[in-house]
Amino acid sequence: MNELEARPPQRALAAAVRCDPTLCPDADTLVAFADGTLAAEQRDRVAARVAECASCAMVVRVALDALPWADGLGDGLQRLLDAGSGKASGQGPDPHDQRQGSASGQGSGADGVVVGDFTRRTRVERRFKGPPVALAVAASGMLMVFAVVLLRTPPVEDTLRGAPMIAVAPLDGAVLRQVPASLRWPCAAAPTAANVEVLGADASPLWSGTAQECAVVLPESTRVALAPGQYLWRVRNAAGEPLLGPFAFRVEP
Amino acid sequence: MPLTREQFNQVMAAHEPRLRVSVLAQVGAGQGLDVDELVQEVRIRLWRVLSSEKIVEHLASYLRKTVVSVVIDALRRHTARREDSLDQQVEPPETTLEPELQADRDQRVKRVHAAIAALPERRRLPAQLLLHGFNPQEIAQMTGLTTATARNLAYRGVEEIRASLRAGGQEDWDE
Repeated sequence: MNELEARPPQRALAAAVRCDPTLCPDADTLVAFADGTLAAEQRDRVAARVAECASCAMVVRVALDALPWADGLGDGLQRLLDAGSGKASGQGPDPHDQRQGSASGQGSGADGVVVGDFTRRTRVERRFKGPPVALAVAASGMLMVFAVVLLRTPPVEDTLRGAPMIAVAPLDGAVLRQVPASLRWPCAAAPTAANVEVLGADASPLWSGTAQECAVVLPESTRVALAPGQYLWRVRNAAGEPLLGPFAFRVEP
Repeated sequence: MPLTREQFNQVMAAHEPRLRVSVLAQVGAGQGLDVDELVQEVRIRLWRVLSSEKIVEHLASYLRKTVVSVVIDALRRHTARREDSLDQQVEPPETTLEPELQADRDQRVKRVHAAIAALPERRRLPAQLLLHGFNPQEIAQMTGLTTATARNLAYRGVEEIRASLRAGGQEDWDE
């Protein structure tokens, strides 16, 4: 039996296990449950509750589906927060930053000035007194070590959950000069793809078309009608169940 | 330094469509919840925290908990409103079926219950989770099984439920 055949008769089950959502565990517990980070005993209790209650199961579904959104928004917010606290790379630290110091008391600006309090900077400079060549060699060595540590590919087994990275075209989050002529995805990622839906930024459906050979061609009339802005698209099977996406692209002529 | 409202609005606007499509649309459909209200509530809660000096340790995790919390609260409010309206008899119940249809539906629900209850304990939970729309990998993660075991138990369980319902004369149980 493949996964599609095993797809749930969700409406029948939802009716069978309709329950009072006030009895669902709290948000922290359900998110931890979705991530598989609860202790075994509590996990079993929550699993039993989720299995018995359609509302609780739906909330767990939300916790799982929110992951790519939360990662994306979290990155965006973190960049802004870091920039606000002077941690952003590529920005020279201003005198205020040097007086106040960063929260962790470490980090460096693009010009190599240590961002932190002056006491600490003085200590760092003193430690590296010596010939410039030795300093350069030491710096190169440290850079290589950092590069190896930071650029290594994380082992698959370390990743509990992550946003799906699928080589779609246009790439998820791409900024384009014009509306793409076609939308493509790897055939193996959605072998039963039947339909593609293009949605506006408010998630309203704008266009849908039949998938052919892991792609869909956007008609000229639709391309012209799509004004500059953000769009999403997703791939569905014949039963209308989402298979891939939503993926985003932005048109900025 | 906390975010400015302009920064917050800008970054939220860029990510809000994904929230609507992948998370909240399915919650709104058939649950009686308003997606616009949910999105607005998420925005308000996030802004309240991010505009303050409060430090959030794990931002992505916090964002997910906020969404889940908003959904739970909305479901609870919705249930409470429904119960109130039923008590006061101001509004009719959301779904009114003909007595024969209601009896048929109750019968089907009982059969599904019985079929699930008849499953061996080891298969029951994975099968129920599969029926809720979780995939084997998610079931494995949630139950502490390996993916292969979760897949095996869940599919076998669902197949048994299917067989049991068919044996009871319910051929169209998928509907």
